[in-house]
Amino acid sequence: MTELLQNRGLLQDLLDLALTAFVVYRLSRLVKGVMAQRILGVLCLLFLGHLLTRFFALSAARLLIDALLASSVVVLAVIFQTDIRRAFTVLTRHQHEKNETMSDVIDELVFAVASLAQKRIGALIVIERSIPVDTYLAVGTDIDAKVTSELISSIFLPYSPIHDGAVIIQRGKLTKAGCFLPLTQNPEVNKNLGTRHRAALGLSELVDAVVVVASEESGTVSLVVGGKKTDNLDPPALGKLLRRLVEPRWLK
Amino acid sequence: MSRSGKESHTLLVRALSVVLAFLLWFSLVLERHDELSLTVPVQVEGIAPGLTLGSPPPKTLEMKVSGPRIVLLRARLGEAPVYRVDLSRSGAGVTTFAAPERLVKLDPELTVETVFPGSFSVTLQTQATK
Repeated sequence: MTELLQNRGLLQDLLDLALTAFVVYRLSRLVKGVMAQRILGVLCLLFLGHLLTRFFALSAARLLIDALLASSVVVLAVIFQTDIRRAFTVLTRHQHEKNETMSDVIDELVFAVASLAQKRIGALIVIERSIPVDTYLAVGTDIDAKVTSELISSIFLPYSPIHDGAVIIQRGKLTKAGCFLPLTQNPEVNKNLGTRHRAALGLSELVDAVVVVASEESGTVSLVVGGKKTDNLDPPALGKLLRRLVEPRWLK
Repeated sequence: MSRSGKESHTLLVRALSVVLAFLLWFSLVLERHDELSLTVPVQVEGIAPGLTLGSPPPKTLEMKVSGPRIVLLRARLGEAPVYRVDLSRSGAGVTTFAAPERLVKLDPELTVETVFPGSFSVTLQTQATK
């Protein structure tokens, strides 16, 4: 404790430095793209210039640099007023929107799967979690679209050229369709199980993804995760299970 | 921007944020006031012809100055100040020099806290002729 009190100055400085770095980093995130790097770089050079001119007592150069530094806050606020306004809006809505996004994706997915199962149209949907699934996917078409029930339904309609294969949802976006998944090699799996279910089991044995399967034969919905299958899920149960298994951070 | 590009961009922004925070913090730390001890050599000059030093001044003055750390750093790393004892107007006898810090050329941002000795005397005597 005594040592801690003796080192209070050092701790204070470290805390000061850490807080400043955190605030600078959070502020720099308000600005999009490489502009943040440029602004930070210019500010670093200005501070370095301030230190050097102060040390070497270069009064005129110091006056110029200090004026630039002092006005930089106002200049940046004027230049990036749109970004700052947008950032403040995002800050206030962030949590609300995050939950909304998750809810939207799952609702759309559940609605699409329920409607496809009712019409006895087969569907295979993979929701990526912490382990990337890309290395286990064969062929497929890149899409990169918002997850909507209409889009999912139209992909799996029998006349769609990409209805065979799986749809992949990564970070809350529908990124690929028509992907072929590795089939399960587990000899204990029921031989009567269809290819869709085998593919769902196969992928879920390799990664932590959640796979939703709509059976065209039985019109039922199953959820596969970690090589385990849960069958005959009605829409509310599917939604509840998905909300439990998919954390918001995997959908952003 | 690809995922790896985004990661490297985030990493660079984080690194620049730390550098900027360090420079900001460092420039504030360097403005904090501190104290520095200086040893100022004393130089005697301007002794009139025919006079000689009876009792010389101290060889050095010990000064304690205070000011912003960056100015103290400059004072420590830069050329040491010298105290010049000008005896050109002094005749034979004892001359006392008080508050010698006033004659030491220091950065205007520095304040002299203490000087030792605070005053001293120099005795000039006539050179003995053969």
